[in-house]
Amino acid sequence: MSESDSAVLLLDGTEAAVYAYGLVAARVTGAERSRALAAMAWHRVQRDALRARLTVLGSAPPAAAAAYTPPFPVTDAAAARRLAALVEDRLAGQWAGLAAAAPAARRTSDALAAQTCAVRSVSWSGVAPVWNGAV
Amino acid sequence: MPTDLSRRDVLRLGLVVAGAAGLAACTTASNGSPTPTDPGGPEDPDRALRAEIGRDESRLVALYAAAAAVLTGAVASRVAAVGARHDAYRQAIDPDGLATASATASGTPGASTAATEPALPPVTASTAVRVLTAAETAAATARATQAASAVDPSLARVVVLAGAGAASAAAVLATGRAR
Repeated sequence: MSESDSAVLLLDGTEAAVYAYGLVAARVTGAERSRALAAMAWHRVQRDALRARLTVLGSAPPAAAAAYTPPFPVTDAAAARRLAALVEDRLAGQWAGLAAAAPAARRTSDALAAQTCAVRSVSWSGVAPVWNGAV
Repeated sequence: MPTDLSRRDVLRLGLVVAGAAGLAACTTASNGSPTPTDPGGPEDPDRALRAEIGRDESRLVALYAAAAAVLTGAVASRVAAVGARHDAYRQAIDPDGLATASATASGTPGASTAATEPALPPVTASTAVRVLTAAETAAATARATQAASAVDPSLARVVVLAGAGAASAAAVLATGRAR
């Protein structure tokens, strides 16, 4: 997969994460809500950077979907935590995919973004998968 | 809670290793970069990197083994499960044991001896966990840098994922979830 294709895939995942954290923030409270909003802000920054990167690569960044359907109903705090962990785990894998497709100069920063997502996934689930984003 | 390797983790490992093997079997990656037909073979430009990371991962396995000596009960098994990940990473990155071969050829202590030597002096359980946390953090930083030098994109991906796993393990250990 080319760097552009990987970036498009990751951009879509990042847009979905921003949307998902809106759902998460609505179901959790206190410190967890603050964490959700901070994560949403981080993903927004990454989204803007990915759009700029795609433009530099000569690709038109696709528009975000109006809404994303979560893989399960997010009706309480437990489901919200599960959704946040799942989203971050998948994004860690997608960042790894982009790192692999990118030239060496961009790999380290992509790898660190993958680590940020992986650590955040653990913070929501308490479980550290051996391989992020593999399923 | 991170306990034993779950069935899902085993399946994930199988998928990642199979994916890496499939990609490595190609002669040209989708981005045009050359990829070895024989990962770890004489023509593999990533041999040195595979050996370097293989040594790092073997040291981490040895460190966890040493820590197991000062940990007890459920904590010991939880920490051992976290440590078992490094054997999975070593196998995925250095399947031919280049780390062991290069250490033997050079006469320097390497993976084969590191696995049997005590890598951690007798310490308390909390100190052992702190040492492991620091080692995982250092491994995560190293993998992010090492990924940049991989020629084979599929190897770069696995190295990035190993770094993400190390960062996750550090977070688990630091927050006491493994205790």
